[in-house]
Amino acid sequence: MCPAGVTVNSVRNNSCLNKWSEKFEVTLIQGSGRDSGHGPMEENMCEENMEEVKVLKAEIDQLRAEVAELQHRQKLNLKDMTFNFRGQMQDALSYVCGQKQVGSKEEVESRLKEEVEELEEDLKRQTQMNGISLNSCTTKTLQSSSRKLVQQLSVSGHCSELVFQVEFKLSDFTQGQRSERTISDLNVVMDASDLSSLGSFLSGVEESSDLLLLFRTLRTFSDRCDDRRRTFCHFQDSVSSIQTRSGTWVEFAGGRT
Amino acid sequence: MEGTSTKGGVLSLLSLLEVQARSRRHVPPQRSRVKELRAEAEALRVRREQLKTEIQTHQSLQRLRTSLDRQSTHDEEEEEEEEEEMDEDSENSQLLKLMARHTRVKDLLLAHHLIGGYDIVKTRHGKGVCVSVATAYEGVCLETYNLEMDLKPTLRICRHNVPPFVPLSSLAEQGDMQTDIRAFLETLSQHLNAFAGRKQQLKLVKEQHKTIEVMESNALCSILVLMFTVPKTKTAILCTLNYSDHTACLPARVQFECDVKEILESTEWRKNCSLLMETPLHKALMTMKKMGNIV
Repeated sequence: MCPAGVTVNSVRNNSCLNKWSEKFEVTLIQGSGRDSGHGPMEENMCEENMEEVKVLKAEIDQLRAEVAELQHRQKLNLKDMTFNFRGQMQDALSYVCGQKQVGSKEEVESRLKEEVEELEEDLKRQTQMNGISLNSCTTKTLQSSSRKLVQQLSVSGHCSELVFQVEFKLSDFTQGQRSERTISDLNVVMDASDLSSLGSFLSGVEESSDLLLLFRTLRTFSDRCDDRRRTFCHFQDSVSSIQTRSGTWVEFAGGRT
Repeated sequence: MEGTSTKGGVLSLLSLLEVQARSRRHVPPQRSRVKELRAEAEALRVRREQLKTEIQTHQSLQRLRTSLDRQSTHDEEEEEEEEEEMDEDSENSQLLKLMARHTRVKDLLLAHHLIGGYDIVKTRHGKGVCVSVATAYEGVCLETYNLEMDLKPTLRICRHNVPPFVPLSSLAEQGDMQTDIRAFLETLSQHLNAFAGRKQQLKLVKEQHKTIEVMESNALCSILVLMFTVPKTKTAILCTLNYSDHTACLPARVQFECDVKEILESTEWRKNCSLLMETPLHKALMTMKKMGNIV
């Protein structure tokens, strides 16, 4: 607002005119002399500002595009490995990404190390209790929304001598309070040696996506194999001096169920 | 010294001073716009660098994780090759390796849980343990049952949420829980999974087959009585399914009752009898409907 009683001449910077020109994106035609209220120095400053604004705007557009592209790339990466961490992992991530206020490197490292070692102890307990040794588990997110999460999992390991690789889809649906978890598209690959007896069982299990039954059975099967082997070894020792007429060893057939 | 003439003069002087003061404080709009834009550009640059660092970290973590996974299945020799790649950013490499180990062990623990592991947890400073038995049917994850056990003086179940119609204590005795806890848990898991499966089949029958009346069912879902209606004649057939093997999801015996005996002697209904003994209930009923045997 131009204060009353003050002539335009005495106002060095014509605030009103500038505001108006910006609002309507009109380029002020720089008059000469005192009437327009712009001296030669102010004139140059206006031009410089315009130039700078133009340059900055262009730079911002460019930066926005770069940021969008990076965000898109990050979104794709997240499908292969989650970055959604809590607790010590969150601190470690913040530290690595430059936020050193979470603690010193030693502090962050030692806290994380403690947690990792606890988890690895836990893993040993689970391995022993479950009778299954897992080598790897990789997950890929196929679909992710607030109500639905679909992941593709690939788990490999062995159950005593039986080596397996299992792939399946894991779907988590949330409907209000309830959430339902489903396993589907089960695919089992096993070491070929005992396949004949397991073959039809495996197709049945794949069809009904019965992951739990698969592993219950693997455990039982491998326990029995272990039993048979132990018993065979025992017999082998005790009959080591006996040979059949044809000169071959007596084979222990074991219990079949 | 106030007179009207000086008042006017003072006022105009004051307003002049006001304007001058304002024009000094007030950065001209073009300059303030430039400031705004510079700040925005800077904020975007910061965000860009942040994203770049996050993406790089993510990729390093993935590389480390992949090499950890490979190491677990191959010889130690390969470990040497993988190590060289990580010399860049050696400042954070220890921390990143720990992070990769963390993601790996978390995923393995998840896998143990998903494949029906017992999720064993130590409680009360090692004096007890808690185990969980997971159940599922046709891929749908169902109820989880928990058992809390004392370890001393002998292994003993102190708390659980297993339903009373599952004979927990006799299973513990028979399974020789003290010496072979895994065998006991395997048997318990069989019972619980079969129960969950039968219960789920009943639920699906009620949802998918509203024309079929469920006359009777027991808590263990080991006995089920259904009422079928034959199309056209509207004859009623009573069907009793007996799941005498409590570790099975399929009935050991299927019996039909009908006023019109001829129906039951037909080939169709003999087939239906086998069908009900070999196929999950909700699926068998679907087939029977398609064949036009029932409404």
